[in-house]
Amino acid sequence: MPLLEVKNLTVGFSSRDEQQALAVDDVSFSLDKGEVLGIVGESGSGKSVTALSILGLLPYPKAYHLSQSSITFNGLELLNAQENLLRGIRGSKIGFIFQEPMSSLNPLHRIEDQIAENLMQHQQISKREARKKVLKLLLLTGIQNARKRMKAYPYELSGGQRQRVMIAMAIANNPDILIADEPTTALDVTVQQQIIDLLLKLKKKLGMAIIFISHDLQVIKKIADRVCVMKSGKLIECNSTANIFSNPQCDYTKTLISSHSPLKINNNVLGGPFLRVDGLKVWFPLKKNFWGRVEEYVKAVDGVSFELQRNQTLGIVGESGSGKSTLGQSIVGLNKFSGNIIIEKQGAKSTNREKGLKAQIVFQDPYNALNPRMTIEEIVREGLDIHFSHLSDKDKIARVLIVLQEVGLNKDVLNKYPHEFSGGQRQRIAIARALVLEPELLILDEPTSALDVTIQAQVLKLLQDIQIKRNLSYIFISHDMKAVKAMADVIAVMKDGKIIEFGTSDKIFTHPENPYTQKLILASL
Amino acid sequence: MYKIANISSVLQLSPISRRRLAAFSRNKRAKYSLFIFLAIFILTLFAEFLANDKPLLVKYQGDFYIPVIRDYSDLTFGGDFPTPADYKDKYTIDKIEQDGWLLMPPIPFSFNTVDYDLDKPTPAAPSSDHWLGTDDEGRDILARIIYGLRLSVVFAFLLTFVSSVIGIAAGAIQGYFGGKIDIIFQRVVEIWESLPQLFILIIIASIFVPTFWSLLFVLICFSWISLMPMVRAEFLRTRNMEYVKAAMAMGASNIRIMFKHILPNAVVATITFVPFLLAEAIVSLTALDFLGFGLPHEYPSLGDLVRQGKDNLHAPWIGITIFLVLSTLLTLLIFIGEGVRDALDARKNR
Repeated sequence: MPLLEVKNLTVGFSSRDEQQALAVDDVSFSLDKGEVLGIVGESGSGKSVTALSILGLLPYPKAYHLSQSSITFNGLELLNAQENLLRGIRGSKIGFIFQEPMSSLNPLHRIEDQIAENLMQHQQISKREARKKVLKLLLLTGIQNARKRMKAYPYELSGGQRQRVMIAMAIANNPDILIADEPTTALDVTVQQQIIDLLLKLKKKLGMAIIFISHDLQVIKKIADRVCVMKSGKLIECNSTANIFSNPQCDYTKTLISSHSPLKINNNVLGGPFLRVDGLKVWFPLKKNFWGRVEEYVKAVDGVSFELQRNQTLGIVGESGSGKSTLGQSIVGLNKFSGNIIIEKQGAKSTNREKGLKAQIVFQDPYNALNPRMTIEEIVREGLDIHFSHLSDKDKIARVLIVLQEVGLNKDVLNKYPHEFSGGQRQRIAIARALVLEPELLILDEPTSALDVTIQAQVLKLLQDIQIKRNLSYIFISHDMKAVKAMADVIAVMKDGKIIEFGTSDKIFTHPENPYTQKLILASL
Repeated sequence: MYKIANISSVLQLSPISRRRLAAFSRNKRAKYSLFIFLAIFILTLFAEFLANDKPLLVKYQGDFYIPVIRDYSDLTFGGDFPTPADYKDKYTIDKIEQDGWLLMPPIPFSFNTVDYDLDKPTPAAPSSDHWLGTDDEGRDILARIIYGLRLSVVFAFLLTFVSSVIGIAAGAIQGYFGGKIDIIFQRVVEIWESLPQLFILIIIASIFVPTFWSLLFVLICFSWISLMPMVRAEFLRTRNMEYVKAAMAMGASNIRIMFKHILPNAVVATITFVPFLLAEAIVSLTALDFLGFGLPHEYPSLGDLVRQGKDNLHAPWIGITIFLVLSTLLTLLIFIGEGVRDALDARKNR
């Protein structure tokens, strides 16, 4: 008998006005002891809903199952089971790790208390024993300074450390199954690798089975024994990891595997220097003394210099907190900085208004980047309203339509609002907004990180096409080495506000010199 | 439902607003409360035509006169003095009816008409002449309530509108610019807030005789603070959104960003509070009138009726009437407010 068996699982959400499609549609799979099952799919494919229904964590009664659905754990039916029974299983027999380590820990409690709570809920032990166990668990997760960290509040920990705490909580009661819902998505590449290694180590040590949910096949490949591919609520393919990658059956699986990144298009026609950044420093005050003099700074960007050619793409890579976004935002004038940023034919002291004509920025999160109260037309033409207010409405709309067409959207979108679009389409709109002023430099601040893998590839392709058509220079900021490889001619590796390695893309990828760069590249392959 | 769908298509509302409007109209209690409140308010706007001691229309010697709107002297209707005509006077009425007719409003008393024809001591109990009785000065209570409602609601609307505008502007400046401006402004507001509002009003009332406008001004001085923290928080939050940064990178001016990008998002949070602010404004005006520090005697105020109800416990119709009027008015506003709040709540309205 398998440890966990999901049979014909169907989940729907009833809503007041509209008929919604089923979130999960007739999904069956099983999980054996000590096995790692990977579930892969785009956002909205129903993989998280499947995981949540195993523990009965869906918003019932809004969510409902069809009658033939069944989930059995050790022969015990979990679907529509008594809340008491489920409570005994949650956190004890089945552990759960959520995606967002930022929001899944209570900010008001020490991590020691949060892990101990889980222990005392399921085991009859005293507070002192619980505390000892917490220390053991934290040591097990390999968190540095475990004894000291017990007294820490979540905000004092980094993302990776928080995820380790979450794992400690999930394995506190020696569960038979650990469900990990995108546990590495919000983390930096090097930290991702560490978390995966940790999960594999724990699996061996504790003999538990793992359901590992991710949108990223590369991550799944590293950890899973078997892989299930989900699309629009349906399970379309299930096979051993080796078979899935060597011999995928469904077309969708094939695109998932192959779509990873478009190839770099070489554009050797460089047009001479375009942007020069000289000794750029962005320091944020951290501590002030009694007289208001700043005593301590966060050195977000600390003395960065480089030169960018026309038609060239500079890739900036580094972990979160390395200052790569701050650098990008300084170039379009969103931060105060010292040092020089000189865009061709403009003085060092150009205003945002003047810079707006030469350099534009595309942000990471397509959900935050568009004002929800403006129509697409208003969003895209705003730049024209600011800089070309003398144009007639007709001319403005004509120019808006040109850029929309360029990013692959047609006339119908003009009067729609951002919430009617998917993430990929929103990112296209954001690109159109940046292009409408016909800039010569585009700062792309993680433009694909929030998108599904297949969409990522499309957006990267689009950016390549636009670059060739418009002779643009790009600054491509990303933590995703694959995307950088596809886009960049030259690469700057940033750490703690400094550029630690700078060179052509080929050189960085084949002969990285700095140990940190080597680690980054190793983790991403 | 049909009507509301029409309105939204005519006004070309955004889909979000349309969904909110639909959510509001789904809440039956709030919807009907809004209709009743609007009906009452619109009726009271025409108070002069409902309760007045002047006729709506007079036909005299073949000519039409409209005393509601224009003043005519006694001489016009064949009287002897060049004084304004007194249409309650038997003599005038006889004169007019000899050669024409006159049409009185349904309640032939204005808020300050003292009924000298009463055959009972004041306050007089409800009768066919005075449907809700009279107060202790012989004035018709129904007429006073109609005028009083208009005064209270108009006062509350003005107070809420002006203090919202000031509050939103102050909150916007603090939230958007942040830093030193925010800190200094916050401290000033804290000091300002700790001033004892009631005592200041009492002091002012003992120096000047308050009028409608001066009382409005003094109350605005204190009530603008209530909306400010929310708008400030909303601006603090929204100014870090990426679409605001994108607009900055485009070179948009501060004013443009505040008005086009942040304000529409902040307004939603503030609209929720408007019905509650209205109710609060009505209560504070009534309370001040009740205590005698509000509007002077010649205004038809609800608070004055509350005071009369308290002073004349042997005439329960005064107290009961004003209690019913005030509680209905405030309940309607609270129901509307709850409906608006639920309709704007993103979590409930998915």
